[in-house]
Amino acid sequence: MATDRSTQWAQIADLFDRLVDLPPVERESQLRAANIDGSVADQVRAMLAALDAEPAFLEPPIAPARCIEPGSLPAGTRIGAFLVDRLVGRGGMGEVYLAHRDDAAFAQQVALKLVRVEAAARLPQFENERRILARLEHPGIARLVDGGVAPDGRPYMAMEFVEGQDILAFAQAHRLDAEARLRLFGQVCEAVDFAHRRLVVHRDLKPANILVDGEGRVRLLDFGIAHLLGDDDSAQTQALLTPDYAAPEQLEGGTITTATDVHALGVVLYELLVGQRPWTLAGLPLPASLKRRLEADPAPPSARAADAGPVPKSRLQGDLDAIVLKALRREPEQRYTGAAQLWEDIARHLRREPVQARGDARGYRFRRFMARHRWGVAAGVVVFAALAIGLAGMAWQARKTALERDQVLQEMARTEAVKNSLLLMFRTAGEGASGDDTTAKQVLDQSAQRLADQYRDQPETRGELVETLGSLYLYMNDYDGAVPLLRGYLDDKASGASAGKRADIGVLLAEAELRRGDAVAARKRLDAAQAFWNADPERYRKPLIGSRQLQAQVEKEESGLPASIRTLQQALLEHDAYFGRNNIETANILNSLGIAYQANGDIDKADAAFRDSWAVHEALGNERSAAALLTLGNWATVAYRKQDLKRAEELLAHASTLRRELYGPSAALAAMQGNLGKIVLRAGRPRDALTQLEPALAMARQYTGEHSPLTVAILQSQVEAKIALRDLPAAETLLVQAKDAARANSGETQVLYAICMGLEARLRHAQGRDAEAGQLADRMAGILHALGEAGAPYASEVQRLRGELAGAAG
Amino acid sequence: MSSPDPATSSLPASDDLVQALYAELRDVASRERWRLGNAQTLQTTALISETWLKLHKVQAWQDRSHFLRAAAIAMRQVLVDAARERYAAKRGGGLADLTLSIVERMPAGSDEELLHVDEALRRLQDLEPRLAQVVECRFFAGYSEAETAEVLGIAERTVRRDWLKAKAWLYVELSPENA
Repeated sequence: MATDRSTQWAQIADLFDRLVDLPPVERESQLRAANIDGSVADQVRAMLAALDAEPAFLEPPIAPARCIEPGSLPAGTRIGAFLVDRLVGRGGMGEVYLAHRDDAAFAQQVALKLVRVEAAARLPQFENERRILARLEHPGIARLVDGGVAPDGRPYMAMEFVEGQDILAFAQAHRLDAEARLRLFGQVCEAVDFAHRRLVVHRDLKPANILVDGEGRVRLLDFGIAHLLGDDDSAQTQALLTPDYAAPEQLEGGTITTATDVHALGVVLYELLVGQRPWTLAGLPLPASLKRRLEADPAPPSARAADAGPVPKSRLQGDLDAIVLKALRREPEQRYTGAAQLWEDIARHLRREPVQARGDARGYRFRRFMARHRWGVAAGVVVFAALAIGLAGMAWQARKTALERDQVLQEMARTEAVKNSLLLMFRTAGEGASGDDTTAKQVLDQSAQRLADQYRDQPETRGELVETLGSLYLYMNDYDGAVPLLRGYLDDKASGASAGKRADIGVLLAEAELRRGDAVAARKRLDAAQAFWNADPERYRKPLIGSRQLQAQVEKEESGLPASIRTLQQALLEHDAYFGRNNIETANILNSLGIAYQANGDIDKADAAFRDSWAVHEALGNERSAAALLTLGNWATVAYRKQDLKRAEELLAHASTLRRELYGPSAALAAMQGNLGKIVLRAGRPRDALTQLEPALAMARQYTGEHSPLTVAILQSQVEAKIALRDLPAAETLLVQAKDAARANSGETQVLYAICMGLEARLRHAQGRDAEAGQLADRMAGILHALGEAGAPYASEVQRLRGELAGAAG
Repeated sequence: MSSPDPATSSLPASDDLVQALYAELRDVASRERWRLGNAQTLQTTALISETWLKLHKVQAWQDRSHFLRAAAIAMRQVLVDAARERYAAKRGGGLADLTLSIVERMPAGSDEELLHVDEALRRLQDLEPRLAQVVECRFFAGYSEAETAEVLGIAERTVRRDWLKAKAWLYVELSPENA
């Protein structure tokens, strides 16, 4: 039976699908022609007929709020002092009737609103709020005429009846230009501001509630009504019914403030200028569109302006884009605080004065950017500690020069995003820098102080801005830029800065001072900040712990490594307790501790610290970060110093691969691959060494110059590798280059040239020219001896060389 | 819930999810009871959206379709239960509250009609489950054709065809000669 039924259904469904789009005549002829059971044909026939007869069956009504039924009150019903004329609207909140005053002496038409019955329960509150509304006597606001309780128990309100067009239709009908539209909107702002100053929020501003009468005067309807109509929850539902104008806090059931009206005004202004709403949610919203609405910013008006739109795109770009977007910010506190502030900015624009929204857009985007990149900023500071690795036997200056240049290049890559964001910000503002070859630094220099000064009368914003700009300078290692900005702020007695902000900024200044080599100034600023935090250590635990690393660096300058190490050890305990072991901050402290141990000669402790730090990065999946890379490089250096060549090679190989992937070619990568080549050479694999040394040489030349110590050192390693491979002509060529570069770098009396002499001795020895080899070895020893202490570390090299030469001779 | 609904128990959205949504929707809907009773005038998608706003922070849905599918099932249950209660109360002479009856001047028989649609839908479910799912999405939850297609993972064209077929079948099923 069931099978019969499902077979039959399959036939019905199939036939229905085939016939439904055909005209009735054809349907019938096909039905007759089909070789099917009569009951199947009947069912299909009935279904098709049903569709034709009742197309609206189960379909949603075309207009959701369409009034299907007659109103509950017949014409002539008396409600208070009014007689009902007819129903003019019916929606979620209740019914609206047109009515007139039942008083021959005084003709007055009103819109009579009967609200949902639940409101009756809160009658006292209702009365209270109605009194507030009654005080809203303003030419731009339709007055509340009267109110009371209808005989059937429903509260009602009688509002002044306004005849007019909604603001969009009016602007359209009168073909208003941009300026006329803005001035019309100004009337709206003025009326809303009037209410705001009496602490009444509209909550439901939309074009339908903003009418313009025949004389071009704006009248707002339904002020504060949404609030009277029930609890806040149903206000949320209400917002969902007309979501296009609702602010995020209304959709999410958050706190309603004057900024909520500002948002709605922003939507109306958007529509007035563009002809479209910022969001098109197409009817009722579903979760996906709501999510977009809650999480995404709308496109600037100019981006949506159509050719046939009311205002040309070029008129919208700049001020008006910034003003509308500021009104539409998702966070209420980021919008204009009220309608008056919104209008002031529009008025500034009309007067061709700078608008507030623009400067604000910079700070806003700035803060957002910095919030997203905070870890990057922290890592940038750590990076300055720089790679501790140097080519064995290479003068310390060599490393310093190479790394300083490299730092700049690396930073260029890392700050590309910062730069773009900065340029975008300043370009938006149409001031200062433009052009693609402007560096982030230039942009900062041109604008930082001015930006900070602009907010002189807003201490909090200014503090935020100075802190952000200062962090940015530090991020770019531009301490000379940071110090005047930060110092200027802290020393400004009239800045109105809070003690907390002073501490935050003070510690930034301390860091900048230290980097500039002024440990005394750094100590002073650091002590002041820490003293403030220590007054309430529970509350300020985090910044306090965060300042330990800087404290340790200051101590190192003041009294040497042991004090610094003690502070870092203590800081590690604090980090473990506060952040836990698997935290990026803890990894950074471990790295700093490792560097300090290493500098102090505690190689085993340094090894352990770097290992632990790397383990944290691994646990966090943070291996591909600047901080992790630094740790890995440091760890490799320690392995090298422990003569654990195998592990040093592994770690360096890993580090250089990561570095190449993250930053591409750079001086630091050249140094790293140079070191790696040297280690591989020591391990007796000259061919493998060359695969590292050759690209390292190209990079060193490009990023540090033809004659840099790094270039020389890598050339020297290549000479060594070629000798080991018995490719003596190639070794000869490279040696000439190395000697030229060393000579150009520091003459013939320094370490670099001495090492070249040693290599030449080896080469002559390999060529069987032992007499020359002996003379060259003597020359090397002579140069180093003359250098005194600076030459001493290489004495063992001379010994080794003499041993080789003698061994071969004997 | 006043009664478990066998027609929806075998659907892919998890029972827990449907139950969580049912409770939440019921809550919102009861507050909005002056609009309840007729799926055509009730702003069901607004209720579903509001529910999503409440729940999306505390629960992670697999994806949007998953949520919407469950919400459609729950919405159907909420509406049917509400209609059943009200119908029983009216029949039983309850609900004498004057003010309520004024506000709730629903077309006579709209509750009854909803209950009949629900019953007929169970029979349709036996014939072809997907048609019943389409009705759940289009009629009870108020999703558009495009949304329904996404929720059920079928082509929009298929939704349109299924919807016509389901409506036609239900109409015939509910017409007096078949009752």
